[in-house]
Amino acid sequence: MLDGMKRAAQGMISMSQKQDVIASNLANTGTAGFRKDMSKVTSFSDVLAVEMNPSGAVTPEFIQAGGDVSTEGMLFTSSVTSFAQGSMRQTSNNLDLALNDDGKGLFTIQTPDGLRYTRSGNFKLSSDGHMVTNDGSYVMGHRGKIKLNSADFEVSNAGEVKLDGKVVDKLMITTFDDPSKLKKLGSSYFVASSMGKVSKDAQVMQGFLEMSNVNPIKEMVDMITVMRAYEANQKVLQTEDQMLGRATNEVGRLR
Amino acid sequence: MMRALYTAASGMMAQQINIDNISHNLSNVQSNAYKKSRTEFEDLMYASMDAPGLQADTGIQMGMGTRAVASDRQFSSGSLKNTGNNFDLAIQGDGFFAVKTPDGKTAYTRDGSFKLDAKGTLCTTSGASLGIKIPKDMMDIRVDPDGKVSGVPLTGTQRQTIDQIKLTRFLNPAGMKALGQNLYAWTPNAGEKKEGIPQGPGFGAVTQGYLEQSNVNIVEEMINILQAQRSFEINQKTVQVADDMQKEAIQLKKA
Repeated sequence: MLDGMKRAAQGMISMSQKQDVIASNLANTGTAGFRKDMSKVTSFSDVLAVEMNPSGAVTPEFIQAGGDVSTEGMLFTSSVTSFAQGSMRQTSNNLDLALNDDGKGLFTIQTPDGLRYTRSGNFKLSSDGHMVTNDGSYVMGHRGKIKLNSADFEVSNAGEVKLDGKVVDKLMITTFDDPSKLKKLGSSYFVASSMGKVSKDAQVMQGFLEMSNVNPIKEMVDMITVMRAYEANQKVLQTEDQMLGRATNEVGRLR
Repeated sequence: MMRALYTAASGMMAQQINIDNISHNLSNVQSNAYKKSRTEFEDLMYASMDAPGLQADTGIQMGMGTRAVASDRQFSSGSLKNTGNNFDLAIQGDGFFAVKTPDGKTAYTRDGSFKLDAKGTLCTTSGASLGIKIPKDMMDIRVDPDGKVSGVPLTGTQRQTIDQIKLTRFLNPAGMKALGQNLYAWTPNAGEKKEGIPQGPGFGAVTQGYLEQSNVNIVEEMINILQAQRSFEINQKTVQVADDMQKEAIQLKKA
């Protein structure tokens, strides 16, 4: 009985964590280059099964280690960032750059804390003429920081930065074999634990911004599902409580 | 309390700033040489909860929402309107008129709707002086594309040069501070400033009898309004759902 209550409570906590992730996605529908997070709830025994035997088959060791029905209700919430391409918005601003490559590449940024990566291409000119992000970190090219002396420059599809028709640098677009290992830092930055590779097929579009890849309709539907699942778990908890109440107060009533 | 509440609130606040900015753009649709600005958003920091001992999953990253980080001014040219007025000057291309405000500070503007003050000096509508004095006995004032101001004396037929209009350009005009009254002030963010003759290298041409219109695009702003309003609504829905979930949790303990 108490087990059932614990499981229902666990369900409520998981759903509330899912709701937090949805809220963050919805709050960022207008953030250029934002990548949505997808949360996933897995039961403890599923996780255990994969950890012990990648094929997922139930083995005697698995049952011995506690992987049976009784742990089914113990849940883990995890999230994965989706690197799907966002929609493009034309801005006609020279300093707005978008990557059109199925979401594979990332702009490379030199911050005071090291290299960061971003899909958000709303760059600026610094007072000393470099291409920078909103917080003043340098956008990197193959030759280091990109020096522009005016906003009057061109970026070719291949990412070559041209001043007066002369190529001065090429944007450093990095790709990762396993982008799910990238960690979000806020301010549209990602940090990587391993070195990436230089992208070969990234298409850079000047005068466009890639918008957030959040689909509000999908998030709204998810939100409703989460809400109902939360309610259902709450009902289970209530029922368990009532049953427990009956058992303690009515089964053995003393006159 | 649920994180989702504050996350959604951050989305609502960001959209409020966005709407404020859009309405400012729209209210200046008729202001001479007004330059539109655009609100930019970034995601806030993330709370990472690593799933202990798991290799298959990355744990959960919960975002804290969004915030408006910049209002980025777009210095693209507005269209030119023919006014036929001798003292209406438009800059076709890069550069600003440098003017002295009544309190003695230097400001920069692209609004070329100059007027003569009591002393015969060319001034902006708000009384900032361009520093060019038109002698009383001159008529048929002409401003050439290279900024040369000339006139014909009342007692003669020979055209005489009166003065020379100079333009100033900045490495990063978006770094200037808007003062209102169509004026901008230099800040260190604007970078190096350069003074020069119109039509010189990098400078635009002065066109007499024309005014530069605002570069606000009504259609674009209307679409921005629609998007901002929907984003606001969707975040408000998230607040409602988060609140409902809290209510459910509270109802677990019945009175």
